[in-house]
Amino acid sequence: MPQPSPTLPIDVIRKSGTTVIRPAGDRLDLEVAPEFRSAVLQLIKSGHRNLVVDLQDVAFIDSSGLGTLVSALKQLKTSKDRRRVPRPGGSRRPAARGDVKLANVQPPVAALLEIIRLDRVFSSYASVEDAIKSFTT
Amino acid sequence: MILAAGKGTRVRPITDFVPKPMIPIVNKPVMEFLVELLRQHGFDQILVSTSYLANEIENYFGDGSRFGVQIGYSFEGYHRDGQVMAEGLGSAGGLKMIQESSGFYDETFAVLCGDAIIDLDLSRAVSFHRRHGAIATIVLKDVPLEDVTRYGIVKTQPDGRIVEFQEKPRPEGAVSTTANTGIYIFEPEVLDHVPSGRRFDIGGELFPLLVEKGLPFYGVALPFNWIDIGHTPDYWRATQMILKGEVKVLQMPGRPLAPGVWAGINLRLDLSRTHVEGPVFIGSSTAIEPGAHIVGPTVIGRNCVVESGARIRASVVGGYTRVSGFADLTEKIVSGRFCVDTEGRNVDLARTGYAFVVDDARERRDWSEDQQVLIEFLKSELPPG
Repeated sequence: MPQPSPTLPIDVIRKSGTTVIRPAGDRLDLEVAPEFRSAVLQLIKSGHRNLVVDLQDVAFIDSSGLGTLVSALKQLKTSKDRRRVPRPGGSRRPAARGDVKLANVQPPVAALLEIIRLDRVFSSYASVEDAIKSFTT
Repeated sequence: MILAAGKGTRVRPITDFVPKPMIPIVNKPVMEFLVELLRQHGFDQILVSTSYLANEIENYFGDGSRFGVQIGYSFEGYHRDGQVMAEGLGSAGGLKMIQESSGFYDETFAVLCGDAIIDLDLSRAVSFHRRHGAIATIVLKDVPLEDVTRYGIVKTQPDGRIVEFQEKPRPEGAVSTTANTGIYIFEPEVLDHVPSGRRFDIGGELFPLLVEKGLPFYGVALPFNWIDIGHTPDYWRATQMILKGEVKVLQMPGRPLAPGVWAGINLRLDLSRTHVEGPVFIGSSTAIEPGAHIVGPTVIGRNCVVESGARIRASVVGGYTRVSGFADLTEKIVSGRFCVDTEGRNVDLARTGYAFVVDDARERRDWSEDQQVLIEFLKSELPPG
């Protein structure tokens, strides 16, 4: 399974069929967003459909950071792609539509999501475990 | 005397362009409420101490004739290369300087801080002051224990005489929770106790000195509303209280448009196609597009654009602000590019790439690729209305 190169400023962990992405650093902005975006889109391309973005350390997201999350969501939700894609588990079932869920959203970021009403688009959870659980229930 | 020389750093970003006394509460500067109050109680000569953004104050209040009083200014500072250099003598030092140069204070006078809205019966405070033969009287108000660090705190005898004055004590060391509201009634002789030509503060130095010298220094607690615009969240609270009619200070500016809705002139607003739930004030030349959703207590300033789909609830929108159809503002202060919440947290929306949500209404921008992605996404996910 392709993994983002270790120089990318994110951590990726697989847990119960869900991919948890944790951006390193406290800002998801223009400086890191392009790398973050290519890493996330690469994950989607390689078949990861259930994504949890752990925002524990992120105090600030600018429009390029948020644009990345939206691009990922769009790709997962609007995907009409029913080809058989190799799934991370190795099975060859049709790729289901996925989702991007948020965990540990810090108050300034939550306030921002609320102002732009993206709180209605991204489900967010108090912990990574809760977010993972939401994919299985 | 209105003290209006402070810089207001705790009310940023509002005070980046507007001095604290000029902060508009329901489209009316804080200081105008004070000028009206003073006139109502027979104070017809008002001296205003200024330094930071002094022109803003002078251009608005002029000589006071528009407000039925005479207004003069005492500029505390000097210019260097056109830049204002504040040279504060402290609140008491400033009064002393005026007294020494002109002898302006020749009878009982009131001193108010220019950054609070009050609906006090000043005449009652003056008669208390005279009845007790006081040299100085402070108007007092009880505050919650955790707030004592923001104020001067006093201990009084049953007749109101002040026996101890602490400036901004820690809660554990406070002698009471009775706070100095920054409203004083003074006799000119009080200035005899202020040293010449040096910095001297009313709360920090003069009042403790009056106590130490055993002079007739009193405090009076009267029922009144006191909204101190010391911090940004206070500004939001003040607006809420005034719109809800909890402070009996003024008639609402503008004209009534519908029950609970007041507005200026030259509006673009179709009440049959817009949800407006009072109390709401809308400034002149503002355009509210059909399909906007506005719930009070809310103020929308002048020359704003509120786009279809925008949701605004219990918020203050400053003049010349565009609120896009994507925005959902609940308990926020937005002005141009800034958005402040009721905790005082402040985001510069333009600098962080969210100008397409809230911006200066006069600004024209090109959107980056990321912003276009977001805009398109929001349009498809959140149809307006």
